[in-house]
Amino acid sequence: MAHKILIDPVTRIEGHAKVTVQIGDDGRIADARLHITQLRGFEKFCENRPFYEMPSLMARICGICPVSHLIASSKACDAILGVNIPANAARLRRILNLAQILQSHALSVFHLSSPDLLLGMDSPAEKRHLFGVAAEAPEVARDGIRLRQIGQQIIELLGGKRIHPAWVVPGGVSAPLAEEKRDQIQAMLPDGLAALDRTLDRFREIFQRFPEEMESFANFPSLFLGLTDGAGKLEYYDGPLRVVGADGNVVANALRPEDYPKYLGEVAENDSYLKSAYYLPMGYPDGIYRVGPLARLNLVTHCGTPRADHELGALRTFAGSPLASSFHYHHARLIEMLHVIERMQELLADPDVLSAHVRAFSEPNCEEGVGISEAPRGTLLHHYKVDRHGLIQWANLIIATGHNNLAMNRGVKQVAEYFVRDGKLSEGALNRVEAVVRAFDPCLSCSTHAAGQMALRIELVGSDGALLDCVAR
Amino acid sequence: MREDDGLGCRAAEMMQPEDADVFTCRQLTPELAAAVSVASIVVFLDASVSQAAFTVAVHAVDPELTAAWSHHLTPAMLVGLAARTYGARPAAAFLISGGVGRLGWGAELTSAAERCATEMAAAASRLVKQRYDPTTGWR
Repeated sequence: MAHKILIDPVTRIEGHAKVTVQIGDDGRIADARLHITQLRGFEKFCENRPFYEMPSLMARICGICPVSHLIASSKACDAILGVNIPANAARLRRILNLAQILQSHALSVFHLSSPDLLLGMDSPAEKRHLFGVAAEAPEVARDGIRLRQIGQQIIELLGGKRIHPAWVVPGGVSAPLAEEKRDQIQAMLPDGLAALDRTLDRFREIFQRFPEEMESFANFPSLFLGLTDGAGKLEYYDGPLRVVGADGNVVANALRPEDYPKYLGEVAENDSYLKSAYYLPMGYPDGIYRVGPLARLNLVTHCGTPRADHELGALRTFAGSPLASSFHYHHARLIEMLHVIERMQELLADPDVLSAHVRAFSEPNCEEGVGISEAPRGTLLHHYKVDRHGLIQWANLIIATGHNNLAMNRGVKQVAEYFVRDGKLSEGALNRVEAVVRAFDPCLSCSTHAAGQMALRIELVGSDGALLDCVAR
Repeated sequence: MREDDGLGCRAAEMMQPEDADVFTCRQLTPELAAAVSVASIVVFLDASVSQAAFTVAVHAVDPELTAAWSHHLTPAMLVGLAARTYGARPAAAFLISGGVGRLGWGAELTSAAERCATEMAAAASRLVKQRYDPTTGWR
């Protein structure tokens, strides 16, 4: 008999979501969907605010990745001002962004996903969390805490506070980096590398324990999208956008951020507050693409720093190139954590990092601005239109998790088809449906920022799972 | 930004730096476990909606060692996480809670809440200064 399985809420992710799995009369998976159940409205309530407030306003979208919004928003404001920010302002914003990626990836790998990886997908739910990891492998818990702490402390040293720092502003940053703070940051970084070395030594073997998950976790051909440095290496703050195909060949290169409406489309679904993005030239839903750590590694020939390059080479030898299975997002995050620490060491070693020239001042010179950067979870885009007084008239945000929405949904269905058999449910099967969502590390609070035409569908489901009634508008 | 919800942070601001290492945060996170594990005494300061307005209560915190955790850490869970992760925990831990009066929109405490925060800080200082020896108890 046809019935529906509901996983509500999905655990160990940022934000609120549920998954419905529809079982057909034949006992096979008919459909599986990820529903985002949060409504935020940021694009609407910022209208008529002065543009220079936008970085601080948009940072409040999220408490985990506010720095990402500060940077993308400030870049959009830089475009409205019509300024080229000082080189050291870009350098400092870049370091802040790298620290953000470090702490966010640490949260994802160690706090949210390591319980599944270390304890097993079928381990009892009452043990499958950070306390369980601390009991089983306290050194892993310590390294995760330390890595997140390093990222957060760097953000605090640069921006004044760990969450919602006000330091990134239109035109640059509000204050230069003091020498003693530079020295404090540099002193922390070797600790981070040592923690990652220990983690990778352990997790290279752990990842091998999951062949079925590698096979089934959103493992399908797709495009990959993100920034690069223009020379085939990783880039998170600024650079040309690239699209790479499932075969690893470049589909589009050096795309301009301000042209994004020509190559990115968005569609609202009727059962989720999260819009789905797709590559316009290939249409919906064929233009499905992925962003974030896995995609970024697929866009480049190499990371650009030695330890990360070595680890990436080993992963590609094992899993092939481009990386197709979204299970490899976890390993990709660890490689990116290595790279961002190495990159911060490079940037902080530059004596110009202490330069006092960190801000360009101007009045608005353009009525529109687009800012793109790489957030921990993928490409982040802020687009604003202002009137001649600099008041926001319109805002559009495309969030990393929105880019990945189609892929997450396909992944949920793929995992349900693989692990939910004959309508029989196990805790491990349901956990795997959640785990494929966790692999993408969605930030749902960020991604459900739209307002306007609200997709609202209410389903009344009986105790036997039968759909009794439905209201939609 | 919610008036007396800031009781704990305000009381922490009133602590003298020579008395203790003071950490101010909106939420308890795993990153605090390292500092908790090396402390001899930990005092948590927080606003409470489940006691009479502007009253101060002191609760002993026993570590919770087998908690299931997703997003929200309690003081007991944090002390338990410190024990699990670092093999060490404070000899004593306390939660000093202050009852809220108003939770409207505003960055300032009500004046009664300011007095309550002063009492909370004084209670925390007494706990810290008295010192606690795990073999002989309070001095």
